[in-house]
Amino acid sequence: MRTFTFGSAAAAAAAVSLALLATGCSGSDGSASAGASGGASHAGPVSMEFWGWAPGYDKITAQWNAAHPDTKVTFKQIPSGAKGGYDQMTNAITAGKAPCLAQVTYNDIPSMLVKNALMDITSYSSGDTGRYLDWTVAASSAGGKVYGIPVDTGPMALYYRTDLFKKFGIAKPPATWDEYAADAAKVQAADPSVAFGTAPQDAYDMAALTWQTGKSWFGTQGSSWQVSIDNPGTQQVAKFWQDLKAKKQVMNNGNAWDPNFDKASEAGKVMTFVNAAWAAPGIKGDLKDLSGKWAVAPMPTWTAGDKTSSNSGGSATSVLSGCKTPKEAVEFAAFLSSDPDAVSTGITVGGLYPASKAGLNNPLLSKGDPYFGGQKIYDVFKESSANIPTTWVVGPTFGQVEADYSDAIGKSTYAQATTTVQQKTIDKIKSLGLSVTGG
Amino acid sequence: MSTQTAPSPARPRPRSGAGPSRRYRRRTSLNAAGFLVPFGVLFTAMMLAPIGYALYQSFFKVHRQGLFGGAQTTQFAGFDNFVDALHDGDFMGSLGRVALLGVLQVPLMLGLALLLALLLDSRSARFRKTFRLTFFLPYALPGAIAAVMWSFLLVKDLSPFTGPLAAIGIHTDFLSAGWVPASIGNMITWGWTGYNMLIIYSALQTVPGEVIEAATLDNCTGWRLAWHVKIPLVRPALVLTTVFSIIGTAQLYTEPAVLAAARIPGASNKFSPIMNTTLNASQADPNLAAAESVLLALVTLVLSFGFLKFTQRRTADA
Repeated sequence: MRTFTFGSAAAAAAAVSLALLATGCSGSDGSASAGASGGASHAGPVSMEFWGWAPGYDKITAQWNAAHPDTKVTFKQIPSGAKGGYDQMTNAITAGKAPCLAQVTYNDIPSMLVKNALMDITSYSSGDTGRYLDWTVAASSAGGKVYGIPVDTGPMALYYRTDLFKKFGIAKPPATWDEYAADAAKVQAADPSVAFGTAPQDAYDMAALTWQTGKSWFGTQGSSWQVSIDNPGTQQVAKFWQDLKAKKQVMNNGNAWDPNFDKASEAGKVMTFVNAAWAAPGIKGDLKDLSGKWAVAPMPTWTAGDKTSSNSGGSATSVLSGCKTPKEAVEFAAFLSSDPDAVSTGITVGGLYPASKAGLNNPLLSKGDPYFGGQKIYDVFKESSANIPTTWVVGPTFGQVEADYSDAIGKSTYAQATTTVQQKTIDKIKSLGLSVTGG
Repeated sequence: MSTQTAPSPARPRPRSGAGPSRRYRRRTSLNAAGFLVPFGVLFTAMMLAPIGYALYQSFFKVHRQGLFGGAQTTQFAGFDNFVDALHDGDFMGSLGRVALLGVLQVPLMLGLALLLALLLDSRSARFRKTFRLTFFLPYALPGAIAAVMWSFLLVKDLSPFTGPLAAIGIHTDFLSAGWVPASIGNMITWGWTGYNMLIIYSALQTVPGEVIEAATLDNCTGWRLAWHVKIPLVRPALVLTTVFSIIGTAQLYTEPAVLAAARIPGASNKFSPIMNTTLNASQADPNLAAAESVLLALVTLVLSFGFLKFTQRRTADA
């Protein structure tokens, strides 16, 4: 009989744990459904959820709630899209418990469309699109329909260390990629342990660098995709960085926000990195001790005198499939993107460089930043923003391109990686059932 | 190990003589059913339902057209997803990769675990408890933490190993593409040897004293005692740890995922089969991911049960 008491104890324990599991589930369900179900009654107060990861969105949501007591938005911080955020969204849509609003990067709007995750908001927003930079509106639309309200952009620039430039006798930041390579060689000759910059790590870097060449990874012809990842622009970028990487003049390991990069920066072993406006708060937070030593210069160009820059990242706010209050959702998205106070919060907290045309005149963007030695860094980004080629087309499988590029860059040269990713992308688009014509 | 004790329910069923009354029997079976309910509910909810759902999903496919999919419909696809899975080079490559890793790493790890268990069990062993705990300690560390720790120990500029190796002329980067599989094998070995050792050691504890005594009287001691007496007697434990290791290797995820997330250039985000299914699931093809998961489960099942059957037959032959 002893075993029986033992067994019942175990059964009781199992029952308790089951109960715990059940409450655990219903707990999270309850909070998730609050947003979706709240919108059922249009006449009364509306409540919606907003999922995102950009720093500052929580504060902007609080600003909205203070001004709109009848339309309550609850912000939920999720992992960035590539780190599982989009999976959370699509899972929630499948479960019928999706938030009304979500952050989606321009890179991922087409792939979220392929997953049937975004709502067509043309009828709520069409009068509004003129308020945002044209290319961001294009990047948030597909087939003439609007799927997101542009929030920010990532105009590129060169971040560089003024103290190390002085130490190595480099008078001014490189204006062209040729000068960049020459400076890198000069630094290596003086001290081989110091890297001039960082090598591209992944598809985000490769895309931003290719965007500058005026070439695009994707195009459309009729209702068919054209994949052109392996284009002369990408190969030009590939060749340039492969050369620097082979000579060990750039860090092979570590991007601007990486612990490796931070460690090298603190030791004075890396002098520059090329990245977007939103990287500024990152280095200010991570490398507090280096205040006054960083500065920002225009992104080096391929031809002297040319000002062509590039973009990396940037997000829109989309309304997810199944939202019952899309009108209110779009109103919130417009507030997030264009309300002057919201734009100010975005700039200070998240380094979000506004996609709204009026936002570009925000007074915060003409202030000097003590971290950058008092430099008005946003003057550089403003000029960069005005010189972003409008030729770039985002493809329907960015997640796959990203995964395959990161994988291939680790195994082979940039040129080989590019060829591999080109083929894998065509295969992937085909396997999704979309139409595609090769290179 | 609960898995060991679970499938052996005591079944008192006296056939002859005055058996228990029918009423009593019905009551006991009701009792038994009552006790099985919690297990049954959990097993159905956490095991059968997800497996069934994956199996169901693996026979469907989303049909899309044009640039963004158009009006998407989900249709029955027969074995199409399985055919696609077999043609998915990344997935098949990862299966091969973990198979190779398993063939090389599992015997090494279990050999080491057996050796440590025998040493602990030997008569001359001292500080048994301390050593047992020390060997077991890595297992107590969560896998992700261990992987992060090892990634710091192996990354080129921080590693305490690369420096001394370079001093004797060996220049290696343990996290370069060629070394990553070996480094991952090292992490698994570090984390799981102690765990396996403990299972084997417990089995060694149950070897009857008189057997050892008889062997010793016949002048069979030391390594000969271990080889001819102890190891054959702990065979079931070795079989069990091998099966666990086969399953564990097939389900490899934490170590390569941590390395890939750290953007270590040599670490692939498609290293293991589960990483591939995860990627496919988030890249708009959950049906293919389901088919690949089913395939992975089948391969694991065949390998672990195949190994069990193989060893059982050999035991029967012997």
